[in-house]
This record gives sequence, C-alpha cells and structure tokens, in this order.
Amino acid sequence: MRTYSRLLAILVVTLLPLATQLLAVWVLFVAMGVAGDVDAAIVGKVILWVTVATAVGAAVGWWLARGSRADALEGSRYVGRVKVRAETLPSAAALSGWPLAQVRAWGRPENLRILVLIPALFAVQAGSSAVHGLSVLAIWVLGGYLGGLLRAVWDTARSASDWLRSTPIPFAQFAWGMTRRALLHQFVGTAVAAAVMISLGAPWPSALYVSVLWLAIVVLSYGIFVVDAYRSRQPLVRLVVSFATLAIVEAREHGWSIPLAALLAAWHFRAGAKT
Amino acid sequence: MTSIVLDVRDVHARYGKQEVLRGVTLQVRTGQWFCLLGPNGVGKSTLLHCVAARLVPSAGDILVCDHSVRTSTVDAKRKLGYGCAPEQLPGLLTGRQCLEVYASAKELECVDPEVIELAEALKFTMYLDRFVDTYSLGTRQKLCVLLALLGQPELIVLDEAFNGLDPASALVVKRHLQERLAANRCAVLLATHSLDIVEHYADKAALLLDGKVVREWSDSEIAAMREQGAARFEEALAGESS
Repeated sequence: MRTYSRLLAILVVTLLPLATQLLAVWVLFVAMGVAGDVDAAIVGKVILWVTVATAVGAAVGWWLARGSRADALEGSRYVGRVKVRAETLPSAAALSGWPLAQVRAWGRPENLRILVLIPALFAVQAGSSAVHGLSVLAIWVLGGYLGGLLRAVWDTARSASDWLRSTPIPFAQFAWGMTRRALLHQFVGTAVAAAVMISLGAPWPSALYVSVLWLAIVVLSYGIFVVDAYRSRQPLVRLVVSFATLAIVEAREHGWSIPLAALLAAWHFRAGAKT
Repeated sequence: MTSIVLDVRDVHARYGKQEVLRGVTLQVRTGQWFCLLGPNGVGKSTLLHCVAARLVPSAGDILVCDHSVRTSTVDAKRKLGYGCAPEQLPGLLTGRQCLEVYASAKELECVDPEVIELAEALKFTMYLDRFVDTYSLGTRQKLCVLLALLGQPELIVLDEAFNGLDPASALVVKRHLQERLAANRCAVLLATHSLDIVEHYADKAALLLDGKVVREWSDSEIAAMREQGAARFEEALAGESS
C-alpha cells in the first residue's frame, strides 16, 4: 500500500505538470491552426509528433535518473567529482581552477534556463537554418560563460584572499594562480566566438576588433580584481575610472582603447606587486 | 629560559567607529598553551585576527617571534599557523587542494608528514578528495586545524577550534598540540569557551572583557583550581565577569 502511494505521488508530481504543459501546447496549436485556417490533418500531425517527442523525452529522462541519487553522481553539490590522488604536494594550481568551478556552480540548469537559454531561443529568427540557429545559440552560451568567468574571478579572488590572508603568499603567485586558467579560457573562448561570428557573416575586421576589445576588458578587469582582492579593497572606483577613460579614448580614436587597457592593467599589477 | 613567541603591546583595534580592543597587552612563550577567555563579543576573535595579520591594529604593536605584524608582516606570517573559521574554507576546492594551496602559500617544499599522520589519526583522509562544501562542521574544523599546523609554525593561533569536533578527534588534536608544546617547538594561542581545556591543558589563561585583559591566570593558579574541583574555574570566571 505504501509503495503504491509513493509511486502514485511520484507520478502526480512528475507527470501532472508535463501533462498540463502538453495540453497547453495542444490548445496553442489548435488555436493557431484555426486562426491560420490550416488543414486539420496537418495540425493533428504536428500535435502527434510533439506528443510522441514528449513521451520519448519523458521516458528517457525517467530511465536516466533510475537507480541513481543526485548526490551520488556529483562530488559536490555544484561541480563534478575530481580525481582521487595518492599524493599531497604544495601547489597553487587548484586556485586557477576555482573561478572555473564557480562558473560551473552558477551554470546549474535552473540558472541557465533563464539567463541563457530563453534569450538564446528568442534570438534565433524564425526560418533560420539549423546551423545558423546553433551558431547563435553557441554565441549566447559562450558569451554567458565568458561573462560569468569575468565575474567569477572577482568573487573567488576575494574569497581566496580572505582565506589566505594569514599566509605569506606573494602577490605574483596569488594573481597568476587566480587568473591563469580563467585567462586561457577567455582567450580560447573569444577565438571560438570570433570564428562563429565570421561564420555567421560578420566581417572579419569587426569580429577581430570585438574579440580584441573584449580581451582588453578582461585583462584590465582581472588586473583590478586581483590587486584589490589581494589588498582587501573595493574595486568599484578603479573600475569606473579605468573604463570611463577607455570609453573616452575609444570615442575619440577608434581602437586606441585596446593598448590603453593593456597599459592600465600593467599599472594596476605594478601597484599590487608593491604590496 | 624560553623565548617570547608572541608579544602583544597595548593593542587597540576598531571596526569603523567601534573600538573593539582597548589596549591589550600579553605575552606567550615557547611551549606555552595560552587560552583566551571571555563572553561573546568582547574581542577575542578580533585579537586573534590582529595576531594573524588579518586586521591592522589602530594602535600598539604585535611581535611574532620578534617580527612586527605591522612592519615585517611577511616574516611574522612565516612563523604563524592560523586556524581560520570553517566558513572561510573554499567550498569549491577539495580538502587535498586546500592543503596543497596552503602549503604552497606558506612556501613549503612538501606537506609535513606529521600533518598527514594527524589527518589519518583524525580519520580525515577519506574526505581529502571530496569538496569542502560537502563537509560537516566537524570535518571542516579538522581541515582548519590541519591547515594551521602546516609548515611547523612557531605560533599556532586557533579560534574555537574544538567546536564541532567529536570527543575522540578533539582528544587527538589536544594530544598532538601537547606533543609539539612539550618539545618546545611552538606556542598555542587558543580562544575558547571550554573551561575543560583551560583546566586540563592551558599553561596560562587570560580573561578579556570590554576589549581589555582584566585577569590572567598562571600555570600554578590553574593547577590550584584544578585541585579544588571541577567547578572552581567556572566560579572564578563568573566572579571576574560579573
């Protein structure tokens, strides 16, 4: 009796919302068919395929979740399991993986569906080819990842600085540790985004300009973030002044903000290294 | 004659306009287990933050092995092992990664075998490759203690380090600290509410009230109170606090 009740409860909780959504889609298609004076056979065929796809998707989802608990799949509540090792050796390498882990933690489906997927789906125009649609989606996802990675370095650098404050960690080790892999991901991600933009028909000088400008913003932001996190300062004023300067220079001389961003980043790093 | 490991000289500290420490002076020698007592909010953790160079005192100075935390901060930090609060641990790193990063930050060539042995004694090794955000409070506390002991620090600073530890693990940590102290390898500064630790392990204790040390107990005074019965220290502390 208890097993039956449990199964019934699971079916109600999982199938009822699905059935409601499916019913809403049926009503939508019927209404669209009536409004557009579409042949009833065509509407029926579309509804049939949607229903079959929903049933197959639900069955696959049910099967994939069978026999495994969510907490047994992951080493953390947020990010995937790491390799089990036998040795413990001094290394700051794990610091460089921390911002990436933070982005993955933010990128859980319940966040992504709102922040990335919905705008991404609306950005694909009706009648686009599958390749075009996937490229637009890739740009959105990549943009979200790179933007998240920009923010993650600040958040994790601040936490790391707080955690390591009583150790004599040098600035260079801290800064390189926090930004190494994030910078690599930014460079590779920006290169991929530029390639996708060109494949979508953007002129290559424009794609190159946007990519280099983004990387300049990333390098400057990371410079300010790690210096201010290391010195327990708030970065807002420096960010505003630096980016306002870039915007003024860019408005006067197109393209000059990029070397200026590199210079400003070097200047911030120099200030941090003096600590 | 043992050397002075920690010399706190008339230290004042503030958070914004609120002055938390109002002229704290105390000394801790090698081989000494020094307990800092006091009700909540009197500045125990603030004093430990100043000692660990996490907070700059507004006046006075702190010397760790003759290095000022104000002027020779890096040298002072090299002599120090600070057990951070469990909530400061990075949740998205594993225990092993935390040890590795901390050892690297302390410029060590290897993770002390003694610390690995202590991890085994604390039954912590099974958690080494798990993420910190999956740890219980007690497991986090074990990691905090292990991090504080990395690199043979001459001054070990612990803030309520036995909170959340099971009795067996707490005993393992206490005995480990006693071994280090008996060999005159370090001094321990512990902020605690546990009078049991004061009575059975401390060589010296101080009561902090309103940002000042109002009473100090020497080794002989603590021993005398231990002889007089279990509640003697509690009564003495209650008398001073009121």
